[in-house]
Amino acid sequence: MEKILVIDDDKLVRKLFAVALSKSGYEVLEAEDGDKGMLMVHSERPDLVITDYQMPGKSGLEVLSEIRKLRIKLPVIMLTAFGDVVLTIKAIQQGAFEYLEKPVNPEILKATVQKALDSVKSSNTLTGVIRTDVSSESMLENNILVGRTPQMKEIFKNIGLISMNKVNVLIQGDTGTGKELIARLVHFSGVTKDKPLVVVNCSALTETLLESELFGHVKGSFTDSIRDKKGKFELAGEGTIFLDEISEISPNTQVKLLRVIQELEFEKVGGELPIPMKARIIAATNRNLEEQIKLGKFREDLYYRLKVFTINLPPLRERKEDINDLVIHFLYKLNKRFNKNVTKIGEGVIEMLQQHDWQGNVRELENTILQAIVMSKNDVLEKGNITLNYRLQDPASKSHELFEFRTLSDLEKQHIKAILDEVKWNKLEASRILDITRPTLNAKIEKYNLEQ
Amino acid sequence: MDDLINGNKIPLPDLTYLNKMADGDESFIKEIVNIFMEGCPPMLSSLKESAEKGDHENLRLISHKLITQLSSVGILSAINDVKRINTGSKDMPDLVETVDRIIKIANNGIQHLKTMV
Repeated sequence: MEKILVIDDDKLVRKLFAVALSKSGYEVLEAEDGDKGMLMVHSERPDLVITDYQMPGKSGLEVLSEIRKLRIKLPVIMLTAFGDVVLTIKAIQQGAFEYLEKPVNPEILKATVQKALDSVKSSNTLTGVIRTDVSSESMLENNILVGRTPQMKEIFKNIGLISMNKVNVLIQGDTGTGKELIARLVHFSGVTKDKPLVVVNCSALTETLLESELFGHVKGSFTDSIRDKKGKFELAGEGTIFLDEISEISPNTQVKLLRVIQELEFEKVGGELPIPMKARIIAATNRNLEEQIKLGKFREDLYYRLKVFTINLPPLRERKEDINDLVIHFLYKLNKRFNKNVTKIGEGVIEMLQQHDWQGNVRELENTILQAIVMSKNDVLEKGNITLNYRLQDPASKSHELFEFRTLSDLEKQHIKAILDEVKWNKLEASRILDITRPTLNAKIEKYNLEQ
Repeated sequence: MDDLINGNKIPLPDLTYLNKMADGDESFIKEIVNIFMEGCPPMLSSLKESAEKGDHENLRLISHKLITQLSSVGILSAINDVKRINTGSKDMPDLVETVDRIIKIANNGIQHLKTMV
């Protein structure tokens, strides 16, 4: 029988795990702190350790670190609490097999335990200890990324891995999904944390200006270049250059960027001396670059140079379980920033937000919460103060393009229809959102011949 | 028993999670509920004391544990408040009031749990 050691100072957690895992046929050992846990690692030789992160005495990370020195292939599953993104990155960097958030879903617990034990049998994991190097915690914590859905957890784990190597990273995701935040996390959680992070929005500049921005220029290289200027690549030094909206760069600049990546050097505009390029490149785009390649708008060779590692950020509509935690996070952040005190979430607010499509993703949610906070007259985030931005869609094509309206009535008709569809024809809810009485709504449904 | 908070009825503890973890084994469920009923009240007292003293580090530590404790026995209506304390009690002007609300919900849950198992 395989032995699992559970280290947690919370008796209830130990017992819960003991119950769930013993019912799956494992022998479960319990330790109430890190020191006792390490003694049992020596004496009982468990096949797997599940440890809490936050315990009196030795922390979970210290336990993990000691285990890695002692038994390199012993898998360790770390238990974390709500919102511990920094810890997740650290745990994965130190070689944790997996991290689970409490309270742990029993199916996920059993599946993860099985996977960890199988991985030892096939001896294909934990081939080495990754250096612990996350110390810019305040910077990380200021860039909190909220997410407990499987896609987001996978992203946190990947950040833990890639941040220790200066590989180029391509971040893909819709507008407002948090691509720059991910870039910051990659930069500040690993080997580049003490080096510069330089951000360039590629779509904001013309081709000539962008090249000058990226590579710098020498005095007199073009009109108004009255002195030498360092480019972003040079300013990034051994840190990170974040190229946002990479799909927007011109074919010429694409060629130059490719050369920089291949040759690891560049020249200033108008200059001749090569300057070594030591920065890691993180590029981001809200476009599908493979499609752009097919259309001849983006170079395939550059694409492969940029996507050494790819992070695909899901749109908010695919991670609606995160909305509750995102709202809590935004209330905390925005109350602080705007000196407000909206601390309670009203009845049905989360459900209402979860029904919305969030075309603008997390950024739209944050703006929505901000508007509601500004509108609030008390300490409750209320439905009445939340204005959802409904994008009107052509129901036939289902495209996200705006309708071409001819009259005000056309617009009203389509808006009412969109709201009704959004709330699944709950007329009470629709009339509340539209701020009209229910009889008025019924009259308009009749007037415009609206149907479900 | 006062079952109202802000004019709304406090929901009953939801033992779905516990049932799943224990695979429906009633003796285990009872054992875990008993561990909760033993362990939770001192945590609530400590939460209250820390809020009154402004001991934010202790508030963070206790709230961390309370999230798991309350979630495990299905006292879910207090979780968002506990999470707020866990992530930033320093910036909560309504800290004491929030702690009182958590205590009321948790105690209500404990009373119900006594009759449920």
